[in-house]
Amino acid sequence: MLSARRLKVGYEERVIIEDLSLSIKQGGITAIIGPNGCGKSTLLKTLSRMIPAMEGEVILEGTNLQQMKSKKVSQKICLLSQHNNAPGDLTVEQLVYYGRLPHKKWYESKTGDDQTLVDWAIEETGLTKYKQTPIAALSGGERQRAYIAQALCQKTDILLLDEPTTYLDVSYQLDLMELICEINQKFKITVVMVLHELNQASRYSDRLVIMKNGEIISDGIPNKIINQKIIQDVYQIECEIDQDPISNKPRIHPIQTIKGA
Amino acid sequence: MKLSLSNKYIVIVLSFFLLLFLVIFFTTIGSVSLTLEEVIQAFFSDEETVARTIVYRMRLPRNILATLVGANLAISGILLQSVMKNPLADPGITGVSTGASVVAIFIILVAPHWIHALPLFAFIGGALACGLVFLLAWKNGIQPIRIVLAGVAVNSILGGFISLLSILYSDRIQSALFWLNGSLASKTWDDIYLLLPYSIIGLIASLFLIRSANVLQLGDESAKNLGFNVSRTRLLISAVAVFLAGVTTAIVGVIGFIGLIVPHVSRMLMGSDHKYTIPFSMVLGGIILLVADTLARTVGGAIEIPVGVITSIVGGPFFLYLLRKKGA
Amino acid sequence: MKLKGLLAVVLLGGALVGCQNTEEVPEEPETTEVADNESEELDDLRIVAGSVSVTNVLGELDIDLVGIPTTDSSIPEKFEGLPEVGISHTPDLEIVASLEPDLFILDANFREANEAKLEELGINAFFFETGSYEVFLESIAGLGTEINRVEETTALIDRLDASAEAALENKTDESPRVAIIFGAGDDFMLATENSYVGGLAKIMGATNIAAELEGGLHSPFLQFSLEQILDQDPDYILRFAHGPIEQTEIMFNQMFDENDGFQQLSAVQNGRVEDLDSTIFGTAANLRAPEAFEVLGEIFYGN
Repeated sequence: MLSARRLKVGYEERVIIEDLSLSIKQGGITAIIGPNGCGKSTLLKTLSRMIPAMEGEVILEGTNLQQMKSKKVSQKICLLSQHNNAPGDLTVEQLVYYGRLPHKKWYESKTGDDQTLVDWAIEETGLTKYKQTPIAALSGGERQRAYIAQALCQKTDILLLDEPTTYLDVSYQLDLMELICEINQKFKITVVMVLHELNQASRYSDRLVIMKNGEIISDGIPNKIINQKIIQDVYQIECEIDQDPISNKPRIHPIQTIKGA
Repeated sequence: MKLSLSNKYIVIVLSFFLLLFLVIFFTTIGSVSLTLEEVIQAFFSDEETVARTIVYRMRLPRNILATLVGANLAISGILLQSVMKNPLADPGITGVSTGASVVAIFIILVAPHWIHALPLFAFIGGALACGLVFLLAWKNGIQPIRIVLAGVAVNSILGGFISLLSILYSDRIQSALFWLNGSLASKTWDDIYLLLPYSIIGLIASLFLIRSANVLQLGDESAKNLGFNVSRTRLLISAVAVFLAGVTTAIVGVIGFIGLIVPHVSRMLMGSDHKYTIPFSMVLGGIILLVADTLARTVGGAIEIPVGVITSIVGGPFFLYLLRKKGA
Repeated sequence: MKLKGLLAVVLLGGALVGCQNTEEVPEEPETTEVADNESEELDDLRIVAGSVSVTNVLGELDIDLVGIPTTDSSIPEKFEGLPEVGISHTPDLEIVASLEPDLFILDANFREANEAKLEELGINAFFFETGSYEVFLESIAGLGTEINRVEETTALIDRLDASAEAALENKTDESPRVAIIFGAGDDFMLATENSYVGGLAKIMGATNIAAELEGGLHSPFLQFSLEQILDQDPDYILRFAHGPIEQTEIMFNQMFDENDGFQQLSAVQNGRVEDLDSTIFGTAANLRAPEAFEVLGEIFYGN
């Protein structure tokens, strides 16, 4: 559905990704992990056309992303960025409504259908009682959910998330991940998320992509690809791996850093 | 401090009527005192009295012009602030004021026989200077910080030209320098007819830019996510902002701080949504400049103080207050 | 709450302004009956003067005014107490209009700033030039025609010219070479023939070294460097500035002392450096030209 072919991406003179190919199929949750600077965020941004590729191409449903109109792209792909600085006085309802914009012409204003969608998105993310609350008054977790609601409202087939949980408290992190899983299953939205936390990635994804230095080191089902060696290679730590009894996914216990690594 | 939704509409409408009222009311005030009867007669009868000349040919056009200028500058400011992502940006940073000034001063000093075409040339000067700034600032798109830096550079260079002209034509520089302090003093109905169509175009355009300005506020990445071409949007909004500042400066000279402060007050009352702040800024800009200009022509008795001086004197400290409030 | 504050400020401003203007009430002129009387000469033309030099000229011609400029400078006593119309550059046109003038005379420097509006208001305007001695005389003549006082203005012009002649009595064949330095703040410039003082010097038969340096610009003042003056080595150096003559002396002496080069000039060595009184010698032409001619005549020809 969404694939990257021989991507080379960088900023000005710095090349971050040299020659990367990746294919995302419909449905399912894919998590991309790796140490800081490995290029995972860069990859995500390139997949959503935030950053242009230096070489190579991104194909969406058979068409080269670069050749599509921005609006069309935003009707199909939604990227939830790591940092969001919307004005604090926006109410949840107003923020969520922005998600409708990719579907509206510049002269069209809010319709009844739009309102229905907004209400629906707010309900699905459990924020109904906060509808008129300014987002500055929400907790971090609630605010992220508001952004997820906006993403829902955008009605895209693909949702890309750039470290959605990194700044949240643990309970909100779990909440958010549960919500994402729910969205994926209920509405069949393909999810690709960059995560910082290894265990989160392991537990909540169907497919894991591990990156280092701009390359994909390993790609597959968490159960199959997570082992001590790869964690050592990528993260320079020794660890123990066991099975999480609830999710049946690998659980990583860091032990110590590798000396002289 | 912010108003509730229904209150916002009420405030905007009431302010608009206040503005209309002040335009008429301030025709009763001026260096020459007139009785209420005289003023009313001046409006309703064709008789050529001194009162009619003063009210109808001097104060009324001047008040209308002040309203127009205030609205233009305020909208120019708020649009530019949305582009610059900085609530303390003033249209001057784009180089439009300095560009217009250089050309205007050049004409006044070197080619006074072209004085009738001064607004046109001044506008071109402003537009070129601004174009230069944006050209220098462009690098795979427009980042606000680059606009600021390019603006500083271009403003310096043009300022240098102004200094050069003042050295070469030191005897007549007084006249030219007065132009730098924008004034509504000797403006005619012709000036209003000239400014009006461009103002209307610019102000209406700003209404169409409400959504874009709002989306830019969400952040570059959010805006791109929603399908907006951020650089192109920035250029479009800037173009309208510069257009409004350019035509206004070309006709009345440089008047500062309105573009800086009116949007800020507007936001304090209306919040961040441009659906309210843009219409409100239009009205508020008109009111504030109208009051400033009325002060300018009455406070000094027979001495006409350029309104640009009043806005600087009041605007400066207010700007410092805003800086402090932002907790810099 | 902020809104109320804003409204309060606006209304307060309006109230303050309202209080302010009750002080400024121009006197209603008493000449209304006279204007009806057609057999009277054009003596009762209502004239408003917009600048000090114009006021002084009209005073000299013994013409009545109905309005004068706002100024600290001295103007003929008989005009004191008349309604003031503001400063030269931006006269208060409301007050001017309220005086219902037949003629409003402004300084030509401010023509562009005011012309269009005066036309719109239907106020008859005359723009008086003071850029040089010649245009000054031309303006006086033109004014004379405008207000039908040609006899008086011709007489004035003759008087002025005569004073020039008188000062030239002891003129020699040799033309004295002169550098005229004008100080404005920190800036020092050479006055060329196109300036008022430069023009006076030319009439007095002097050669202005600035002519050698001009390079095409017809500016009344030029930037200069010490080398250029050394190169030209004028016979006389005349110095003037805005402000009282004692200050001028101090300012110039400082500049001359700081630069050794100045000491090498013959004019300095021969004691031919003169400081000019700024009330007589200024950047604008004025009626003290006779005194100016006298002073210059003394300097150049030891009258």
